[in-house]
Amino acid sequence: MASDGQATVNSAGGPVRLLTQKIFPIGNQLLFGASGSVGTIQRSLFIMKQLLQQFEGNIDYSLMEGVRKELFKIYKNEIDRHKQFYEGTDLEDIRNAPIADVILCHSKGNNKIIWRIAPDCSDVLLHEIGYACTGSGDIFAYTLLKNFNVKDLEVEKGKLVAYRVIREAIEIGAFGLGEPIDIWIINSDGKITQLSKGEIMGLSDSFGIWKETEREVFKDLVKK
Amino acid sequence: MNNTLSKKDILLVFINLPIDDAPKLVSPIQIMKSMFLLKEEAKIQDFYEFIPYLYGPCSFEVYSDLISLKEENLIEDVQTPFSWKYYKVTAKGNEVTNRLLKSFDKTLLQKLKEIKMFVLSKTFLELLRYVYKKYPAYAEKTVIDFVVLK
Repeated sequence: MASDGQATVNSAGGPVRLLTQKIFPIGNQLLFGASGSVGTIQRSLFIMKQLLQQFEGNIDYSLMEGVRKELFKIYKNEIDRHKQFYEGTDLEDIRNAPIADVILCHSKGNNKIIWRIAPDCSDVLLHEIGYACTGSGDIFAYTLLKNFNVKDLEVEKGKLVAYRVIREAIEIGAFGLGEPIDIWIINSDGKITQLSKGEIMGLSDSFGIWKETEREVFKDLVKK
Repeated sequence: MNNTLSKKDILLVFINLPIDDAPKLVSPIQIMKSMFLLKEEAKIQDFYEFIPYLYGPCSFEVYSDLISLKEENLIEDVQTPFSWKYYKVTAKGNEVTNRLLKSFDKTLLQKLKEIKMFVLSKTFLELLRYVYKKYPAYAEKTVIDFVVLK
């Protein structure tokens, strides 16, 4: 799971950019990642930690419904509060409400789960496809990821693809995206680790080599 | 390895070593491959440990030391139009390097210069090709297929 390290939060003077973490382990078997409003992400994480504390590798219908129901309460509350507060102003539209868009990942042996829960709490399991994206840069991520054999890549190469996708999305300059890049791994034993600064530097250099190789192969087709 | 010098000291001296009397910027890949060649060709003991990585031999300890040297204000990075930053020493780093050079093993220093000259004379892909060919065991996880890339 990979993310950029920047969030946009409201202040009295308008939106400001802050460094923030967007990926968190839940227990020792799940990774939680989210885009959206920082406060709503925090509340979503809090409730999911409570609901998924006893998670042991299986996501069944009742667990999924329980999670969606609790998240829906949070988001509906935020939307109602937003509409009430901004009633009659240009900001009343619920698309301006502080919501979150969540992705949960689990992997142990052959049991893999990628579960995305949208702001309206509709959800989809995406492990058959092998990836899911969320946030203001998601369209860049989907566009890039479709070119790679994501589902069958070995972990080291998967890290590089994830790094490239986030880096390119940041470089395209989507609003609210920025360094540092944060990457977390769940290996086949279910062990969760966060990449160190040194490992991120290694991926950055691998990305550089990759770009150099593209320039070498495609000459003037690829920008310096 | 010289008893009074640490790996990090050698790394700092390497970054600051002038070639043709002029200081040169070095990229992380050039640094990484130089430290690898130094270990392999000068047979230095107690030096960085390398593993096969996406771009050939890599030591994450080199990255840790680069972070540390930067935090100590001994090196700084320089933005370039390429996909990575280059490194150069700061004024403070230059002072420290000059002190270190007084006790630096002359043979090791000569080897360091030769390696830096060699590495800087090559393009990135030429450098990788050289290392992969000479040390194939470290190229087994590479993302570049040199067989199809002439």
